[in-house]
Amino acid sequence: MEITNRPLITFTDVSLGYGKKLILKNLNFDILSNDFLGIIGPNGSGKTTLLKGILGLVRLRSGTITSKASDIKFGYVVQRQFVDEVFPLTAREIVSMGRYRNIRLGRGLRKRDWECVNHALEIAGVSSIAHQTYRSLSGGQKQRVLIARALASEANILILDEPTNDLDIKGETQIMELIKKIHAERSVTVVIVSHLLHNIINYVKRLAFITRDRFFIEPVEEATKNNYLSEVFDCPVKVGEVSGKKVVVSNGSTD
Amino acid sequence: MDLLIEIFSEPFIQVGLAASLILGGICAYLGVFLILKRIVFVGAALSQMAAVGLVVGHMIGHQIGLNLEALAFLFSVLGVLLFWLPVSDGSITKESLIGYTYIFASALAILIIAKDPLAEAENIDLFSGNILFVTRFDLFLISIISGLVFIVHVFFRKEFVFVTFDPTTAQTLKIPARFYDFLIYLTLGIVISVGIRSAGMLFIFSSLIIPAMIGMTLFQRLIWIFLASVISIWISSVFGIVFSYKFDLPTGPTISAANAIMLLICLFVKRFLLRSS
Repeated sequence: MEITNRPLITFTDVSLGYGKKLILKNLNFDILSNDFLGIIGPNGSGKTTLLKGILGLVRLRSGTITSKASDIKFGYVVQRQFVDEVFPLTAREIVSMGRYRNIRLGRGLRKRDWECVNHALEIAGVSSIAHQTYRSLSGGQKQRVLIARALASEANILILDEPTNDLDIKGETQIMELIKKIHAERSVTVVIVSHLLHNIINYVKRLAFITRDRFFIEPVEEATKNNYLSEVFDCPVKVGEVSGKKVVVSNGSTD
Repeated sequence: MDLLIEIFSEPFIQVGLAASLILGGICAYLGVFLILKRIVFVGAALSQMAAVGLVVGHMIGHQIGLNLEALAFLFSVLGVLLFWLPVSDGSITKESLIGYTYIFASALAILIIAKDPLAEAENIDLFSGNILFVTRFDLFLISIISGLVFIVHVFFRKEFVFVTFDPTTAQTLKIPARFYDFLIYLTLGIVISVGIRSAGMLFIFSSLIIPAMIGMTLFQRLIWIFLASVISIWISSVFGIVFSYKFDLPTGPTISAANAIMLLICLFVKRFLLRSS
């Protein structure tokens, strides 16, 4: 499904930061309906801060973030390393947390909530391990559980922070294929941060680049043709193709 | 059997047993959150803060019109705020702040006791407590406070677990994670301030830590961990009271020691017996 030009979320002159430190300034961009937006930039450039800005977890220093749609529901997939890997909960219990927004205080999940949970487990391919403890799962399975939790919230914008960190090549591909499938089949807008460039450029439709003094968004084909990656990472980066997939290489020199 | 009947027919032991079951049970339940949040020494530091409240109350409480429990509560809440508020300067970690509070509060308590001759006599009680001397009014207070704290935890159970497991995602789902986090700390502070005078710091701190360790050693599901944790302190309380009566030992430390030995037995059973089976 193609991106429409209908903006879901609009950033106007937005600056974000923590305390006295300004991390990102003067951001002007739209997240479009059915977008698949990848955010890349060097370490410490503010990728996660931008995600938190979208989610409303960081107070705006200036500017406005407006939403044109009335029913925006974010499904956040936190970095796996930021959740306690040994917490004594089952996969199903963790996915059920995605429903808590809809449940009144002091109440448990209703039949419809459990149906959503089971459906999300099924989409993420983790139904068979639903009753296993989270701590006993592999890295890839844990990531699927966290994605299932975001799906259980019936999100229409999926926000993923480094979803393929610390996974082997098979795990990386499986997770990216799952995200692609969710985007395509469920028309979910996806915003993803990853430092693994080959993952990003083979899947997303648009790329957002964050550098120390610049922020811009390009369609992924334009971005790879114009070699913006070298500018963003401040080193020679080339994009080639192997078996129809884009590969990213650096010659290692920063001269 | 005759010994058990003899011991538990004593009215003061019945009150002491009820206090240790209620106080130990609620501490064991709250302790699971301490372990899961990896802030076990918050229990020790808050106990010490409450102790400062008690000795301050002993010294000047009557002059300012506040009783011991009220001052213990105020100092606990002060500690709760200190640990709950974010540490803005990255040079100080939360862990070191907890350690600092423990040391400062301990030093303050010792210094105040040194200048209060009457409190000095009660110093040992502050640490090891004397749960068998709990009055019926104390038991009533402990029951009401523990019951209310338990009701709060049952009511917010799913929110408390969520914000302990993954506060950032909870916030994205419009769940006020910071508020629930504060409630967890606050309920902890309330229980500690109520229990510290009757049961002593050792009983409170050990009930917060060891039963939860037992639960986590034996089970992998949260509900069973809570249950095992509470049941373990109940069993230890019964054994502790019997042993302290029979061998004339201080009750709080005997219960704590029984609980600690129970953890060793559980580790042994899990490592050698369950593995071989």
